[in-house]
Amino acid sequence: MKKRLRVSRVLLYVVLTAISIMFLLPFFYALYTSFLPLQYVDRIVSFDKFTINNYITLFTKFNVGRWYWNTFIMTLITVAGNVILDTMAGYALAKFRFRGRNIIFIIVLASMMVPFQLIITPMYIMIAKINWHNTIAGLTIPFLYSPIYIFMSRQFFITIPREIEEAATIDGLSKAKTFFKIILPISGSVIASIIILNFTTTWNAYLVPSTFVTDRDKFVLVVGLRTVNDMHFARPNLVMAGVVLTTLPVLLLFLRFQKHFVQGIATTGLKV
Amino acid sequence: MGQTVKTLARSRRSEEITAYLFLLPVTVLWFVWFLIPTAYSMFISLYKYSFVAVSQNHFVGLDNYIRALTDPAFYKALRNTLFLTFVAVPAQSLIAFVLAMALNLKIKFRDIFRTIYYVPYVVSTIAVTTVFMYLFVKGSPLNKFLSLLGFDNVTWYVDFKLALPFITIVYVWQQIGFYIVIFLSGLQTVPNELYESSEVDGANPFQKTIYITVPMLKPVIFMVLAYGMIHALQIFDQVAAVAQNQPLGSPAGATSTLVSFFYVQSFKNWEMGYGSAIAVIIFLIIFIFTMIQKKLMGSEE
Repeated sequence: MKKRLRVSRVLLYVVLTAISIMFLLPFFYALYTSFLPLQYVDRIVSFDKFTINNYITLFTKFNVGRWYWNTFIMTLITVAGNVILDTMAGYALAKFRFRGRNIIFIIVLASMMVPFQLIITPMYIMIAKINWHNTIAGLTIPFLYSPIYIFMSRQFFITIPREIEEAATIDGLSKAKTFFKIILPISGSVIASIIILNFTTTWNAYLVPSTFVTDRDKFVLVVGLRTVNDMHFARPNLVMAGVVLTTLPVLLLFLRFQKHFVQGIATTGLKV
Repeated sequence: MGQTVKTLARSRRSEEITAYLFLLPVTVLWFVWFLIPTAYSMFISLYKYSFVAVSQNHFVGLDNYIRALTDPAFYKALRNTLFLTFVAVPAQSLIAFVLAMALNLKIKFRDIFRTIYYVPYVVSTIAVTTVFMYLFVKGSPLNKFLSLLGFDNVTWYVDFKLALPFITIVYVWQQIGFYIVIFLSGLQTVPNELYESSEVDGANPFQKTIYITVPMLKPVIFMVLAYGMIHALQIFDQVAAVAQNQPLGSPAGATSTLVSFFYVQSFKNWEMGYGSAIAVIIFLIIFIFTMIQKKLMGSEE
């Protein structure tokens, strides 16, 4: 019996490790290939053959620095907007008594169900009409809020005990001040969840940036990467350097905030 | 006494005003960038509405819907999308369930395994698809290995038969981690006493899974299937990546999906009326699927 248990344990580790390799192999392939000169692609070579030329080419010939900057600014503005506006709305829905609260909450839930393709065509027309195509404004302003994070922060704030707010009221703080001075500072976990989830979605977004932006200088990384892949598919080493540059910031952020990433998915995912 | 009532009324009023102020920014954004576009989309789905020949736009009633429902290319996109959905959703749900069960055990390196399994989900789909394109290219090491198992050594994403399976593989590979997270947090809610008392009754791990875990996780399973379907029905980025410089849905419509078909109409042909009609149809398909699933899950209880 004991022996059988140990055998099944070993088997479990073997399977889990095999799956880990399946999940990690594409990443290692990309990282490894990105350091190779073209003639060594798909071959096993020693480290002394490695080169950073692919990265240098991307920065000097493909404007990757510019794409990085555009992506960074787009993500920064969007995440900042979502953190501030969605928590404010979520807090109002969780803690304030006012007419229309239930209706607004139902609208939030209903908005999550409408697929994006129903919105993007008129959105594009509107963006084009006000000359926001090829601008950061067009990529950020419509996305400064998100029903899912409003819902997420409402679920979080509802768990904060009333006593905290009552104590603040007794101390003479207004409702708004209570939120900004007392509640937000103790809401790090939900804020971190919004940041990591919203950061990854915005950084990785393809459909909107590829549609709203046609000027190569205004590209974000993902869109730029796709054009490198389209035009230089015969140079895997170059394309993989692009893959590494695109994914690295998200990976680092994920490793740092994994706990909040999991929490965010769990609180929203289980209830939608 | 009267004074207190007045103060209370005033604080009530100020609370209400603060609430509206807190909600004002998202309401404005929602009105401009959600409500107007959604309504406008339904509106122009009844028009011949071209972005490039604006002067010729006119009302056509349900013509765009009829056109979609009689368009073989629409059915091709629908078939492809349903194939992908009905292969990917069961596959990713089952794999994620099994892995979540394993990762819920007290095993060594559990956190490392979890991190590894989540990682594919957080990175860009375009980047992931790009890497897989090289892995599945003719003559690649992986393809040589697969040819030993009887697969043709061809470039998958340009092969008429293998392009859609290729996209399905990439899709499932990337989505599994997300559903592991959901299942794992669901497993936390199953009370340990249930397992303990079943052990007293001599239940083996398999029986425990079937008779305790699965029934207890029913709402979570429903969520995983429903969300999985909603998500899979809207697959797009992978299709865009494999098309490279060819039209979306390449090779020859083999990877055309509902959303890529919509995208071609709205943003390649600039036929936004037709595109919007397709978008409404996609919305209805998603809605119907969700309702059916809700019914099925509800009636079993």
